[in-house]
Amino acid sequence: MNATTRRQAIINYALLVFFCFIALFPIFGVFIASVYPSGSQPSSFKLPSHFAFHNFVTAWTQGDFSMYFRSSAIVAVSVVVLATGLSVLGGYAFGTMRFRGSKVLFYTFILGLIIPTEATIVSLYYDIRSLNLIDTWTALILVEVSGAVAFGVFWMRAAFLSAPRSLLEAARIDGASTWQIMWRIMIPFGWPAILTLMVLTFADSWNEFFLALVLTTSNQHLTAPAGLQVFSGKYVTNTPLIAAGAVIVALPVVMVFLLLQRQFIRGVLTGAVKG
Amino acid sequence: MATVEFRKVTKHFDEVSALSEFSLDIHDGEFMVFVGPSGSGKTTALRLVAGLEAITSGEILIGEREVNRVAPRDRDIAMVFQDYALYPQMTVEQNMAFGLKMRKTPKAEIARRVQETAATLGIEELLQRKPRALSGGQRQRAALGRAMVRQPEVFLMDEPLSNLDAKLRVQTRSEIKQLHKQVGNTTVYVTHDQVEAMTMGDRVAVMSEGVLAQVGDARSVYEEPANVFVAGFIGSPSMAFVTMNVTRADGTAILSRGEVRLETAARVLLPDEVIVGVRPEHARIWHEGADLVGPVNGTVEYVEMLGRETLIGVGLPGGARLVAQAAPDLLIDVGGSVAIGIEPGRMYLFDPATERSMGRL
Amino acid sequence: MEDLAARPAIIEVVQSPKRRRQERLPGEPRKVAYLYILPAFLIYAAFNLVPLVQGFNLSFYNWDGITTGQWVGLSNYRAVFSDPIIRDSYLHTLVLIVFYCFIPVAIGLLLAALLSRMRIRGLTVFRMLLFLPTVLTDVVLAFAWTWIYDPKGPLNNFLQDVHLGFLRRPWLGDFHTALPAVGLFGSWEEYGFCMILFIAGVMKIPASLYEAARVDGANAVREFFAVTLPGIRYELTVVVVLTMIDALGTFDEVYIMTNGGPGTATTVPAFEVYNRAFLTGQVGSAAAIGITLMVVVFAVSYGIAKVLEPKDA
Repeated sequence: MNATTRRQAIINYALLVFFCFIALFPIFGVFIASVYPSGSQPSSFKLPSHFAFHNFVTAWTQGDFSMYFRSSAIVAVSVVVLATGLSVLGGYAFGTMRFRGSKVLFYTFILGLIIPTEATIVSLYYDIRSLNLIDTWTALILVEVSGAVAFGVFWMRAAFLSAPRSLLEAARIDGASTWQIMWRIMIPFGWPAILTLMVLTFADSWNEFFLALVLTTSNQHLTAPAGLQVFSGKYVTNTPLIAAGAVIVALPVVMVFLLLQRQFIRGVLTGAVKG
Repeated sequence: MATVEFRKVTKHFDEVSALSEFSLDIHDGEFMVFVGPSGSGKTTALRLVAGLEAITSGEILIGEREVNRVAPRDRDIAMVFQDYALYPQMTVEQNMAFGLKMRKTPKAEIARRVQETAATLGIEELLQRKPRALSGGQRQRAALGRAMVRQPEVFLMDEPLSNLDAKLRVQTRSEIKQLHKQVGNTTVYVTHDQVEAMTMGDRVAVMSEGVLAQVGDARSVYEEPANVFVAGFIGSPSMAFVTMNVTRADGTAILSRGEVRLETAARVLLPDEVIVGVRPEHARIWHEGADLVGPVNGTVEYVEMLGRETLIGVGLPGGARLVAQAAPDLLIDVGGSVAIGIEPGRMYLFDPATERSMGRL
Repeated sequence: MEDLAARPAIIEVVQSPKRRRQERLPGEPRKVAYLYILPAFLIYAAFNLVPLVQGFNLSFYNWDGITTGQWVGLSNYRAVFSDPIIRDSYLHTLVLIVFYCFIPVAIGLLLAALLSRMRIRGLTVFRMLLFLPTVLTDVVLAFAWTWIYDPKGPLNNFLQDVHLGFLRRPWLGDFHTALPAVGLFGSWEEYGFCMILFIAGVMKIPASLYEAARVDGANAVREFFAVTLPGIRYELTVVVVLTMIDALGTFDEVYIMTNGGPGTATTVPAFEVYNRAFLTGQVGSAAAIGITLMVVVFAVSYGIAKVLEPKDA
């Protein structure tokens, strides 16, 4: 379908490149700023004469980023494991079984996708407090899981629904129980979807700021984004140091994204662009 | 005794009736084919035997045991699906072993049976491959193998050949028939292809719109169709039907339509109008002296040269049409007139009101 | 609220899924389904549904979080209209909608239109790069932009270098520019996502439609309106809904970049919720704002989906 002239094609590619560049430049900026000498005031995108990689070490040790990182890791991994497990179970039920009230129950989960955190955060805080779970990872994990599960159940249900019915029927004739069908047939079948779910859940959890801000207070329990915010409050004028901290915070998600970008993009695209 | 019995089985899907009062006895070791167009209920009937759908009313018995509420896994059946339904993440061997594993068969026994079945089907080299690495025909065999390895009482097959290309289909057809001779399990086979039905089935159950139209062996279904539907469905090219008026004149009946008049001896009491059905293989170009009933005069509507024979569509007054078979070297023009003769005893008569057979003249 | 994962699912609300017939099959387990759903449902109900109901209840009280609250009926809801700060927060959201939704969508459409006639090589790479702003922690990105907007930072310096020095100002500290500055951040963050979705949608449009249009004598503009735009209707709906929801739920960037200020020049509903619940002791009011925000989000999603989605089979 090449009705475009060569010149048009060049212009188009140029535009694409331009927009990509725009998308990247602030990110570059952070990287550049992070290697300026600590305490200095980088004011442009020019590379510094001296790369102060030491900033990262400072941020990690003195800046408590090792702690923030650890908290984020613990929370994110727990959320991924828990949310994925529960979503697979629920999605499997919705996607392959017929039972009374399945429609209503499913819509209840869908509701969770529309309920913004702002609507529940207030009572959540007081509930968590009355459970004495303020400033614990447990509270953060549970709240994040509850949000992740709303999407996860929807996602896994769609994945399992796409399995040909004859596959399930063959398994039932073969004598597999519901549990065995899930383990041996549906999970292997739906593995790409599960992986995508894990990737998206991980990113959401790692990037979560609002919940961490409200539910965790001590340095030991703050997750990375919230930690970055606190850190920036302590070192307000030290832009390179803050930038170094920002890079540390951003790194895991970037790596996961680069490694598994197909899953990432497919997840965001397919759901939005389902045939 | 691995018999299958349908007793007045009815199946509704919401308001749609897929199967109505379907009754049938399938004998032990029989290869029974359910054949009919889509929507005839044949697949529904099969799935009811499998336990993949719930019966609305009636009973199904497998081996003299009522199984209405019995789960598929406890019915001692195995099924070959139209899309094969092979577990995509498992090798062929694992696919075949799955059912046995679920029944806690000892490992050695599983291995033995898988090997045996694979040998019978000639798929030993495919055992370690996954379904996506197999061709259509190979997948079909793997699906067969998975069913056979369980050695069930009843085999169920849901149009297993429809996804194969024509040549492979013919080949596999005879292979399945061979296997059945070897292994001898009761088999219920569903297809929409009447050629498959006729060549494979010990008996054929012709179905239409949720009702059993006729059951019998291939010969009787072909030679003695019970109604218009079966007569028109079985046989290719299909039977042509013409409605004709009847007048009687002591001992003979005169069937007429427009200027066409046929005289034959009337042994049966006929109503004023009959549907006459004639198969193309029983209608020929008319010549004097031949032992044919006729002549039936009409215009040539189309000529189909099939190599082995030529088919001629003959238009009759009032929009009716008969199809006649002629020798391949016949030259005839569309639009010209032609006279047709019918083999005696090959005019099938049907009551226009009930569409039931009234015998043949 | 910028749940990456929630993005694709929002549309599901308006499009009802096809349901399987409910029937008891021989030997098929039915009750066990509830068991599979139970764990997920329990956590979801406990930390999502219950707090929602509680929040609804809370919104009818004036409470400072410590002493007992007072019943005030609907006054917190009335405040949504009467209290200037809350009103402003919603007005600011309207401005943000322009930045978070209209601008990125326009950019996305523009590019989709230009690229609709050609095959794009290296699309994977472009996709990856354009996606980065969506994927990265927005706290990190907010800090990046805070630095860019800094009075002594790159933007002002750049303006100086291109002889536009008179345009320099404290972007995030100036009453007039703070909100647009935040908005611009949103535009930057969202446009990549829009572009990718639209390009994907355009690629699904059969070439034959374009050829037919060309044979009919359509020029590029007509082609866009006749073929491209209707062809990506679904993607358009998704994108508009998602970006609007993002605009409505903005919190992180406001907190980081301006803290609602200067004054209340950049406050948004989500920020007010946080502010009132945890800083100024107006818990009931916060709850009410949260609930109204949810209603607005739902109404907007539903409304847009209904307007943009054609009723075809």
